[in-house]
Amino acid sequence: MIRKLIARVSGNPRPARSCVLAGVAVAALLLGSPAGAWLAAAAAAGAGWLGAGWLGATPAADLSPAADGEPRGPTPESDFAAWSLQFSQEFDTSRSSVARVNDLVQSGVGDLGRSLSEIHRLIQGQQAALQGVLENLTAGSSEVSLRTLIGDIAMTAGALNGFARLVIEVSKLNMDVYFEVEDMAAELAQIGKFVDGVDWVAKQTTLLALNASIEAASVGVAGRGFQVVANEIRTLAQRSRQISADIRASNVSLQSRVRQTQEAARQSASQDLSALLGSKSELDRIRQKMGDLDARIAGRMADVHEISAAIGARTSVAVRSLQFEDISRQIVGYVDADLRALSSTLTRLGEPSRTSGLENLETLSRQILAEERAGAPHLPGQTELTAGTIELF
Amino acid sequence: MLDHPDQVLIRAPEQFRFAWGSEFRRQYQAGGATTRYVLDLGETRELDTAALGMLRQLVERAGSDPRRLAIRNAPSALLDLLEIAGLQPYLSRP
Repeated sequence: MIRKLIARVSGNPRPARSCVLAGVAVAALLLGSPAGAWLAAAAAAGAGWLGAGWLGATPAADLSPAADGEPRGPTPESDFAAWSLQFSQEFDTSRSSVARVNDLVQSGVGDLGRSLSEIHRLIQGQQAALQGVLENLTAGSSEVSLRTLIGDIAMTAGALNGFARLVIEVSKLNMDVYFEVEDMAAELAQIGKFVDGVDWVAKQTTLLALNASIEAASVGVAGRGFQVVANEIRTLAQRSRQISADIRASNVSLQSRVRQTQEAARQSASQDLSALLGSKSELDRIRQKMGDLDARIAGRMADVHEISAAIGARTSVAVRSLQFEDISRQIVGYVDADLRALSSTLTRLGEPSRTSGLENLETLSRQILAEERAGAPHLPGQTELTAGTIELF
Repeated sequence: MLDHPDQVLIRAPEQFRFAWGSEFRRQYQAGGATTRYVLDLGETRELDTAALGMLRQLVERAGSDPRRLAIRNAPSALLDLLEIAGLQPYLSRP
């Protein structure tokens, strides 16, 4: 629309000259102001008409008056009033666009800020959950924590060691019993030899008694008394042999029981600890692995803390960077004030009492701009957003 | 290691088990109240609990005095067993 308007201006040299003069004067005022450069850039990027339309589209030759000095077409005053009105309307349209841009930026940055805050909150929750899991795995109070399991395994391995020592001690006692019984078996064997000796004596005594009986019989009546003694000796010898047989039988029985006791002691004493030691070694190996895992988890926890700190720092930077929205919004407000001033200037220039006073354009423009900017905010000159450099309005 | 004037050297077989107990006992019973015992496990590959029990007997016979009992050349595979049996104080380092 503005380009069409400029085209109309460029097609009418006289009004165009007036309009260009007014535009150049106002633009010069704006360019001399702190916001002039920003406004020129914003106008060029957003509307693209200020320089291209006013300064480029109208050739210098077209701005000269007619050769006969007579005005061509409508009077400059009436044209200027109409164009001023149109320019004022266009400025209002531009202000409306700027306001929409402002709203969009504000809305977008607001959403972005809320998203960042939510992301930060979610990451903190995720980190807390992860940290809780890791702590439960390592040093938590839960019964299934890794360190508790390591402690349980160590306790079990210790119990196995204690059990092995007990088995060895029992084996020692069994070997004590075995060797004692072995000594008893040797003594029983010795007793058997003694019984054999008693048996031999009884046998010889029996023979002796028999010989004595024979000798007693050979002497007749005189030997009857001796015969009685010989018979008694033979009876005693037989009794002695019977006792020896009883002792031998008991000895054999005892030796058999001794062998049974020795066998029981042997079976009790002789155990293979390899399975027990294998289990203990396996427990030690598992404990070692779990210890390594615990150390690795501790390392990961440190990583989580470090990453969390980094996320927090980056989020803070991002949130702080969002303050450009505030700065941009105020800059846009400043531009809006300028546009409002321009619009007001053009409107007032188009009033009948002003149309004949183009020579007062500069004075009027300065007056209106001063009025508009009196209530305008300070325009920040900040160009970057780093920590500690935010310029307050 | 300096020879002790009253020393009994016992060389254990490859399989130091219950069956060798009587011979082991016979050898260490040759010592007296001040005898120093040296048990060489250089050839031993197996120990059962009876053998460990007998080693505990030997410790008792030596008065639980590491100066009177030395177990040498123990294979590394048996060190765990010897340690569990409480024989570590008597292990001599090569």
